[in-house]
Amino acid sequence: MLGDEKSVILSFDDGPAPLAALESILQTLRQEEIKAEFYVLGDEVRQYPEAARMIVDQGHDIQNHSWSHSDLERATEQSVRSELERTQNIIKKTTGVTPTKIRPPYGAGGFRGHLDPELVEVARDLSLDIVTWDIDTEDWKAPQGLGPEKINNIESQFEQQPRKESFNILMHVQTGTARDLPAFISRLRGWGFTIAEP
Amino acid sequence: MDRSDERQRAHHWRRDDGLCGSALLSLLSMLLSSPAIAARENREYDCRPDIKYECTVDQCEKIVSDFQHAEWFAYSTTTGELSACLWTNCYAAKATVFRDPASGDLTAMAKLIPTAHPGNEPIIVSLTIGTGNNDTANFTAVWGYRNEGLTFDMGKCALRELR
Repeated sequence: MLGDEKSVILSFDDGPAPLAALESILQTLRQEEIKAEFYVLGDEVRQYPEAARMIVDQGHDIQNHSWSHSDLERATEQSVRSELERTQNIIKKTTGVTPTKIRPPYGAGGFRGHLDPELVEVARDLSLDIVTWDIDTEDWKAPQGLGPEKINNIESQFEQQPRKESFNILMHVQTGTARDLPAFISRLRGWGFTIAEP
Repeated sequence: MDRSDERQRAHHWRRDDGLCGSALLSLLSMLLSSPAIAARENREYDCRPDIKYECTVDQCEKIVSDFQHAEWFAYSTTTGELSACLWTNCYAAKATVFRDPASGDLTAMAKLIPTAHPGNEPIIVSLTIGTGNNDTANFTAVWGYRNEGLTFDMGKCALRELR
């Protein structure tokens, strides 16, 4: 099968808002006994501190996704530092957890061969690993969520990486993804993947 | 252009149910064969949406929340580059530019190539920016991947004058 002896990690960008979607995603993960990664925006943690604490209290990883979802590759070194440092501080202050990873918005400046020197320098100063993803679910594209066309595309992405044994799957905290997550998890397990902890 | 104009444009689009990504490609090809008009001023437009319409051949759905942070467009009159960042990638290319002589609206169109990483297909973008004032101008960006429908983003551009 597609996922025999292979594992996936589920990750969600752009939280913690919208709250209804977050609560639904957390409920599904709880029911399915899955721990996931949440790459949150500092400005949304400022607005919704309880939601950020909910992620941590339920045993999930909370990580840095910048303050305002800006394109860090185009940003000045000063701006990159501000985006990452402010987010580190608000997550630590709100949840007690210090993030260890930065997933740059849009993947900009974070992919191998496209690494942004300023981002690398700031991440090093803040002891953050720069990470991206292996599978882009494109859950944000209309129709939003993880419907049949998205599933076909995800299956193709797995098939295009036959030697890889562990995959990070990118999703977003949004309504359509929350709605389709139970079926998607079931599909992943049906393909034979183990859903690993981050 | 005010909001009612924007809505009118979107409703008009809904009636044109035969127009989709492939039609936009044809339109782009036609426009590319026309003489482009270069903008004279040295400006950068930084455009952030307030609302959007996601359109298929059947209908358009209005979306007002939870997307604004992840969709962004820019056009530089200095370099002629049109760029966009959309959720999981950023894109850019040299644009073909037209100015409507009656309204003064500027339209930049291009097939944008992924710049952050190669993991996505090119995207076709048409960005129309109103005349506005010295600080801001309204915009409409129409974009789509091949035959997957079209999205209208509407909002305001911040203008930055360059020396």
